Amino acid sequence: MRPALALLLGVLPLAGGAGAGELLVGTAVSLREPMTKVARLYEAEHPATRVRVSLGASNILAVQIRAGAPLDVFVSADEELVDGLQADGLVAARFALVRNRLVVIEAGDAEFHLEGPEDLARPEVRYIAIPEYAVPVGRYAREWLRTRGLLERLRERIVPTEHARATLAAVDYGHADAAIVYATDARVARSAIVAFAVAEEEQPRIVYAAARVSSTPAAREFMAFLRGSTALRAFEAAGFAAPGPAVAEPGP
Amino acid sequence: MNWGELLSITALTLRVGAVATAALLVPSLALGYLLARHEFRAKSVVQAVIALPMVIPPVAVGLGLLILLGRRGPLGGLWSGLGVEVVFTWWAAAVAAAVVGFPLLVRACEQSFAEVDVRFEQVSRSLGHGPFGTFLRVTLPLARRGVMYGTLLAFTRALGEFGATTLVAGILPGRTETLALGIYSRVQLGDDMGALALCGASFLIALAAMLVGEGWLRRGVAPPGSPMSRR
Amino acid sequence: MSETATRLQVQLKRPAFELEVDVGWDQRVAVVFGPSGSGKSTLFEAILGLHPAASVRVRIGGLWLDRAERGLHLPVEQRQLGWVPQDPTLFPHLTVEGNLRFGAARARGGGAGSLARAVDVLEIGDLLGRRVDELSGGERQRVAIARALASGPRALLMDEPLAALDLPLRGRVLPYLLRVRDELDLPILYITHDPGEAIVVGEVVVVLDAGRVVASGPPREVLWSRAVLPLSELLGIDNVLDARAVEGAGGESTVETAGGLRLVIPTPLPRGEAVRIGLRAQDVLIAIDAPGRISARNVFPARVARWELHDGDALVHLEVGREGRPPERLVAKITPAAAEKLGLGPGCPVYVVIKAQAIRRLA
Repeated sequence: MRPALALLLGVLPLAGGAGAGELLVGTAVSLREPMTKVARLYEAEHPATRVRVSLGASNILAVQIRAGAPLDVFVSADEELVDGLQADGLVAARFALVRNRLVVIEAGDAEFHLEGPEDLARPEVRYIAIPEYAVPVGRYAREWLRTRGLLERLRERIVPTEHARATLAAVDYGHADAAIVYATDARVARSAIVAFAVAEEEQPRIVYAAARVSSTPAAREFMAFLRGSTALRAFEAAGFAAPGPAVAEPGP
Repeated sequence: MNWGELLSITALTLRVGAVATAALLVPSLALGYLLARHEFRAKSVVQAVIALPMVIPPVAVGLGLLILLGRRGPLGGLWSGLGVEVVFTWWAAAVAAAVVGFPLLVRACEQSFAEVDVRFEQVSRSLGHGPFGTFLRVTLPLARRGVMYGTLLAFTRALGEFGATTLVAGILPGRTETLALGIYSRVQLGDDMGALALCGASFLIALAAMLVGEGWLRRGVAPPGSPMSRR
Repeated sequence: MSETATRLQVQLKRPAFELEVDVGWDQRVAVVFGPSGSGKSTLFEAILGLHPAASVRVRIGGLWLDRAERGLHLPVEQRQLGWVPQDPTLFPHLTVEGNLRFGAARARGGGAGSLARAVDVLEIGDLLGRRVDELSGGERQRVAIARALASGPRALLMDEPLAALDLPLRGRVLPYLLRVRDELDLPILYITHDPGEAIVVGEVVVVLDAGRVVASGPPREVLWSRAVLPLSELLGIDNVLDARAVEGAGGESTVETAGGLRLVIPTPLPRGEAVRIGLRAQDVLIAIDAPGRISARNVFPARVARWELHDGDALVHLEVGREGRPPERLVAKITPAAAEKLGLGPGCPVYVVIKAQAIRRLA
């Protein structure tokens, strides 16, 4: 017991928080992989700076910023949270980072294939998993169905799920025949496959925002890097899309 | 998820738990003894305050710690002036774990000390040993099983701490990402295999801890006819 | 009161109990006697310094431990009192030797001498390696006494050291107590509720009842004094009679009370010796008709004064004696059913039957 304890204490890193040459980036959990990759890419270009990615639910990260946690940059899955921080003077600069899209998935072993929105009304599709209305993706999905005039027709088939993960699982494990999820979520499905993507002109605005919290040169530098094509390629590789013409801003 | 990552997350978790529990031990023993042996007016108030971290939502505990330790907080402001930053370091995870484990350990100590017959302490004093010597040589050895079990409980509680930790320590892979935080972030990402691997590690640690604890309790049956068993 | 070698002045108020003791003596070995609940153990705790709220002035064997007017109030651990509590309370996490060393650890001069002497006097050398829970009741008491002695005490405080033991075991442990008393020149305070033990052990006896000293002095004088009689009744001696030996033969003698009652007792006495004898109520038998040939040595006529129910028993108050002399009173304890069956009532003539063995000489 005692040697084990000594070993544990012996490997304590002495460093405290984000010291000189360190950048702390609060990141929505859903961006873990691309943001980790972006951090490594940035470090390769700026060897003097270490980028630390702190993951969390976007609302938790906002709470941390309000309490004075030493975050330099905040990447939020929810634009409105950034609006609130900006209104309180806690955000120095911001821009739309990437966009997520709605896709329709179907069971990988289904005996039918869904070609477009109208196919959701086919009799073989008995259950459609969609997150609850309170979850953003659930709200977006229902709004899209309504604009397509499908919501009332499909109401009997909709199975509300707790969150995106549960929605995927419902199709993966055969409890539902189809589901509406984010494109990024669909990439980690086990057996479900993307049937079709919601048409570009019908996509809701699902935008991730990057916000600068501190005013250090490194924070400014990192914000510029996030806007660049190197970062965008990493996000696209994870299933995200460029923010689009309406919100896109020119790279450095 | 590779072996290196799994091992480093597990080691970090154990380290956080060990440091938190070690820091709790002396204050919990002192407070537990005070509560077990002394009657005072504000006793029930003190007991209620100690129990708070156990009954209020962990996220609220985390928010409180964040405000206290953050740069604008009273403690954090002081430390940050000295160049010490606690928030978003594993020390913050240890602080959060300690705060939520504190009620468990104090309670265990209080109960274990209360079960030690005061007569033993009085006899020890009459034999020339002062209050502190009596505590170390009589009370603590007689209460050791309960204290050890309580320590183990606080340790395992510390290992599983999530709500408060995520606020005050963030989830920094490689720095503050303990098993509980790692499981959460992987479930969010759909990395089920990674999450399951971390769950497995948690399960094994918890199982080992509980087996050790049960062993302590089992050995602890007071022999028949001893003054202890007659109570 | 001129200062005696030992002086106890204790005042302690509790919600349902008040201890108020002021007593002193010069003898080395004192017995504190009284029924349970009389405050004996509390008195010991006050002497040990375990009751901070008590007003205490204590001098034992010529040394002050508590002297309020001089600001002297030694903490418990500095009093050097060898305490043997009623429960032996040996430390269960230590072996016998560990317990003894625990006692010796703070003794003057390291305690090696006092420890060896304690092991020797109580003959516990063979027990040293044992665990506490492997000891018999008698061994526990001996180890507890040895542990107190090993601490090199200036006095020994023993709280009913034999009470937890059954009768045969008491007989085996008592010699060790007497050895401790006789071989070590230590002031001893000894609590008991057994009059026989008090007489055997004590040079002086202090009788405590309901938190107050009701008598103190030489055991044989004090224990059967009129003030202590009601306490003796609590202890099972219901009948106490003063008598004088009128003849003795073999292993027994005949005594006669002032009221003219003649009793055969199993104790040889020189003619004319004054004695006080005790008799338990359940050892007094009642017969309506004169018994014929019977082994009991004491059979005599008596009259029933009255009888009453007490704790499910019938207590029959009897008057015995010769015409023209003040009657002797005896109490017999029988079952209520027996009292009904015999048709007992005030004035009833009866015969009283008492075995000689049932009569104890008290003093």
